[in-house]
Amino acid sequence: MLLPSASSPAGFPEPTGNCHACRQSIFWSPATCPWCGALPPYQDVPLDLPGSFAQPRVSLRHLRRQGNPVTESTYLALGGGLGSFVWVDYLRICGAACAQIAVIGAEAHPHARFQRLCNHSQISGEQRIRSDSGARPDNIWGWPGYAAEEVVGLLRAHQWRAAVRILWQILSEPALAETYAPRAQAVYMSLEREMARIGWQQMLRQGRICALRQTDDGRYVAAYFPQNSQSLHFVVAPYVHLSLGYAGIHLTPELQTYRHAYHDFRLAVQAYEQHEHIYRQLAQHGGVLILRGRGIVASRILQRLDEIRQASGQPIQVIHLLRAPLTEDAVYGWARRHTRDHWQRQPLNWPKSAFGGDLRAALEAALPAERQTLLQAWGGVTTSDRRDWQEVVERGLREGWYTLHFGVVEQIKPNGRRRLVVHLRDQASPPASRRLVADFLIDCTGLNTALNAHPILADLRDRYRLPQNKMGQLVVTPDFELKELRNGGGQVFLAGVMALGNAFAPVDSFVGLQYAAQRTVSVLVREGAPNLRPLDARSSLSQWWRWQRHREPSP
Amino acid sequence: MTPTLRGRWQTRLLLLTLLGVPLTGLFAWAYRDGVTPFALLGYVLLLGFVWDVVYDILQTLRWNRDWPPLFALLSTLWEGVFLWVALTWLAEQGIALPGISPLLTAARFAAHYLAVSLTVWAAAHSLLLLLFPHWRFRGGQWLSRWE
Repeated sequence: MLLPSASSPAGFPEPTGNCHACRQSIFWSPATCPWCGALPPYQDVPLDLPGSFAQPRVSLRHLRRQGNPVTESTYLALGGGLGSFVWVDYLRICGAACAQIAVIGAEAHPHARFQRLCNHSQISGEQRIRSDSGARPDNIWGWPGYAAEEVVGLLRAHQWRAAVRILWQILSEPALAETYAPRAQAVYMSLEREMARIGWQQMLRQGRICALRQTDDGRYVAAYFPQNSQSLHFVVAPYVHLSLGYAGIHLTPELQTYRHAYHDFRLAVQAYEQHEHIYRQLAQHGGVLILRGRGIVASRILQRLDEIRQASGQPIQVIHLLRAPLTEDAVYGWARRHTRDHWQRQPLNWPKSAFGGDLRAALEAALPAERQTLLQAWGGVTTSDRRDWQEVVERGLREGWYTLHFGVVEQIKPNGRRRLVVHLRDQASPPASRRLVADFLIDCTGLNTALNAHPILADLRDRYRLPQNKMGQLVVTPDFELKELRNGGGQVFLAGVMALGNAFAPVDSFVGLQYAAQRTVSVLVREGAPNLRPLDARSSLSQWWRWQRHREPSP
Repeated sequence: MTPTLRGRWQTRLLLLTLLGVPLTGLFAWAYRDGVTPFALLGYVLLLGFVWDVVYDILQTLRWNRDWPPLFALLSTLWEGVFLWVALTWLAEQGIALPGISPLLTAARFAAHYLAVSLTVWAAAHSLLLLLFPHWRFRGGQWLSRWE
């Protein structure tokens, strides 16, 4: 379906708002801005920040005089997603009370955005996500892992063989067995349980965060619009945690150009957008689909296409379009990561040791200038080391319904018969132009981490002249503090993907969020922040016992 | 947990002290020999420090630089076999290690060694996670905290 122009919406519903990032009109309620990929809340609200917000230090006396509601808190988590949840969980376990913590976020559930992006990229609740058994955002100890809980469930259902298979996996992964991965539903259910235990809803203020500033009394003030309100509210706190997640999904320039020129949002989509219509049409009529990207989303979508192909019997052809061939193994020291069929596979998005072993220590010990080299050596675009995904690729290549093409996309156009023409430039010498014709294109090129696309962080950088690392993200200390933002006794921490390029590699993983929470709370305990106590062996064990029995953390 | 060399040493020291000593006490009582079981525990600890260096080098050959639980189990069994073979070979050469009774049998050694090593292996994958939340992020180091 070709949609009418955004600027002349004849016969089209009234705009629901403008995107906060690109300012263009949005006519329905997609999960991301269809023009630039910004993640919600993308609707632009009239932003009339008080004049004092133009200064680096806000006078609280002046702010209170203006009449907008101003409340106070000790610990303030901005974001409201999984990063905020894990930090708040840690604070609660270390002794902070609900009344001392405020969370501002757009969604009622910390996993809402994660779940939506998973669903769109074909990872439903039953599917397994790329994560470790012990990477539990609801359990700071990581034990018992998801695998142990699944084994118990299988034993109760007398599914002995499946239980033994999982036990073997967690004993020998990833050397002798495929790495265990939990089902998405298990993650959501455990999060719901922990939300109830720590009183998440009592601490959450649903709304859109607008800005953060230092105050003239050594604290910070966050401005936000509560849900369904057009009046600005303020929260003042001495300890602030920023975990705002990705700025948006990554819409390639050629996809953005295509959308602006032809206003089509159905034939060419980003994998994180809702695109169920593509699978429906392919199941009914078959067709040709171009797939871009070589990460886990591309793997899962290829698997889904294979499932539809086998179930419907329709001729479905998948053209896997990659920028360049990939045949070299990745090498670091004496070890190598193998490349097969132009895919690179590893269990997690970083080598396991980067989560807590010698690679974690090596990155922290490295000079800031060396870190990018190490991160490039260990990371890159990889997919899960799953045998079922490898089997789909091998069978697809053998049977001919899955083919690989290499080239740089120059332009995407409709061909007038509800199909797409993709113009390519290959990397031969001299470069030659080619074209591919397909019914659909699914772009699996990931999410947007550009600091400039992040209104709150870009504003903080500009206002306080915060330094950026070699990867373009804000510089944080190994304790995840934005040191330049220190204000007297007040401190601001940054966790999640926007802390990439610093002393810890897997910042956007469940374990990475727990690591960041542990480091930041350790700093707060050391600094004598109110009501926090160190988690020594005795209190850790006693708090775990409370977690196990679903009892509220003890104060 | 993906161990580092320091983490391996600290974990070995802690678990053999915390769990190995009381369990060995039980075996000393059962065997009516207050010396040999404790001497064996000491040799396991000292040899283990050396084995840890070997395991640490082997880890660098792996892309993930990890050490799956099965590897930990097999390495602990290997250490037991090595120690018993070394003890019997030395005995054949007429060399008696201090503290080791010449009456020590393979069955007694195996019962004591397996009880201690399997308990230590199980605790390293459960109890330590609960006692020290920073342990898994510091490659098995429990002594030091974040600076």
